[in-house]
Amino acid sequence: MPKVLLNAIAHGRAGDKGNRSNIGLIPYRDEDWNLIATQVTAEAVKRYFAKVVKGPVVRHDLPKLKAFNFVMDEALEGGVNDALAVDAHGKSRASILLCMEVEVPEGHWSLTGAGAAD
Amino acid sequence: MTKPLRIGGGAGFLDDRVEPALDLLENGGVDFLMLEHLAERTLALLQEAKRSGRPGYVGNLRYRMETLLPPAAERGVRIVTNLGGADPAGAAGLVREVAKEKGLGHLKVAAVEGDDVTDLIRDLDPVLEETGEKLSALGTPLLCANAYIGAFEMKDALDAGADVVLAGRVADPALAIAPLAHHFGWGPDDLDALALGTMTGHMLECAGHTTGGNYVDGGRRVVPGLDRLGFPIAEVDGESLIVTKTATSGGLVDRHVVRQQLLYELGDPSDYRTPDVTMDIGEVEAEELGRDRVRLSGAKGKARPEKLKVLCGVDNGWLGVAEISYGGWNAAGRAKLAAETVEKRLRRDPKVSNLPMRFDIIGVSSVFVMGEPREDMYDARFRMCIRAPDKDTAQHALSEAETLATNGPAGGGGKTQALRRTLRTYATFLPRDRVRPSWRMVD
Repeated sequence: MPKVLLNAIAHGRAGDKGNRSNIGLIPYRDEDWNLIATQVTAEAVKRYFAKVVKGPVVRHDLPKLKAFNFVMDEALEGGVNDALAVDAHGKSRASILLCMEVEVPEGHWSLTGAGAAD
Repeated sequence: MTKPLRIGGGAGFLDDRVEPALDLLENGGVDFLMLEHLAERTLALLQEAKRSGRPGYVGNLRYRMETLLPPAAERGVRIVTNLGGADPAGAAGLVREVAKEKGLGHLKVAAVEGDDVTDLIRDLDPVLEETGEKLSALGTPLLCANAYIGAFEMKDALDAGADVVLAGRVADPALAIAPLAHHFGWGPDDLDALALGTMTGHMLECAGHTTGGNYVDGGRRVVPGLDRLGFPIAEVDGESLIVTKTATSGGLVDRHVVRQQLLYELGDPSDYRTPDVTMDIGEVEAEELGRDRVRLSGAKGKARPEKLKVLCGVDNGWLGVAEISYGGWNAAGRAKLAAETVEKRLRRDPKVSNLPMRFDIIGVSSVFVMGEPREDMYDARFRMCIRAPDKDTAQHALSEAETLATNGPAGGGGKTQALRRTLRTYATFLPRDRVRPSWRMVD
């Protein structure tokens, strides 16, 4: 199956509470919620961010809103209080998650110029 | 049935733009303007300022009030804000002063106090959430402690006719709950109503976040008129909430933007805790009603937490940052070599060898955490960051980066350095009866 960046079918926003990072992930089209639910699992996100997320990753599903909330612990090197990182809040993390690849059926809708497969 | 209430979200952080709040007053038809200005560590800095004899409220309070008070008064719009910082009474006094200068001496200004629990926390020496140990085990003096208080002192002030309510540390959503509870007559046990109020506050507290700010991505997620980005309006009828904006401003309120903000800084969506209510948004639905109009409904309220959250501020030493840039073939590789070299030199230096330090290559891996340097990356910037107990030690470490120009890889240019004092916060919890919030009119 063709692969696209998650960015081509979804968008998101990252927030922080101390050393905990959260990413709200929302498909552009409601009907892609199941595709994302199947592939962008908590385990997959934990693997994707293995370099920086030291604690557990939990995915909260919001089927009515057609959205997901990923909560990642020990994710920000101490967070805004302690981190020496450029982005201590982890505000850029949602855009980085959106660079994860997902498989889509042939001919599946994706946003032009957003990392779709050629 | 009571008519819907319109609240404008006029600010989302300390130094937010003023123009959109003015637009909300002039073109928004709002009944209330909510101004959220107080991040977690902002208050600790203001507490320090107050103790050293400087104003303990937010520095640009006078300018904001000079700008916003006359158009608000003209239209009968009342203002609810946490601009009071560490000194709500002092801030209220200043607002009264501005009001009189503008010929608005009739405006009633209230201060909400009692969030400052510094002395109590010092005496109690409670266990901190982050460390699991007592405060005193930090070995660092407590600078300040403030409890997050809820909406009902602000509501009482509004019931008594206050035109401007200045609070310090209150839960952000409480700034919206207060006018709603005042308008609809909600009490502390109206849990679903308070959840609707919490959701309203959550949609307003980050201002531009709800109108397309922090959403737009050129050519993909398009937001018209970003340079004139307006701020959100919540229209609440007691059952649901409609998020909208003025027609005069730029920005976008659609189902995508609104849902992004609804999930912002959320943990478990069924367990969003505030001093007034625990909110569950698991069943919330977002419905697009028309251009820049989205309805949110279905928030459920559960009993509020037994204890109040308290943020304790302590000194966290000095943070030093130094940077230098490389360009051309293998720029990223040379920035990486610079990082390795400076780190080796600092780890040999007994004065700083044990301090927390970090090295980054901006343009390669500083925010894109899994990035790797490649030879065809033509623009890269070395960055080092160190935390030291005092300014001199931090400066000493930064000087090592300074030497890269003549002691490091080829072609380093554009050196910069920055040093700043830092605070950090720890959370703890207090039984409600230990915190005694109050309000009063100030003249």
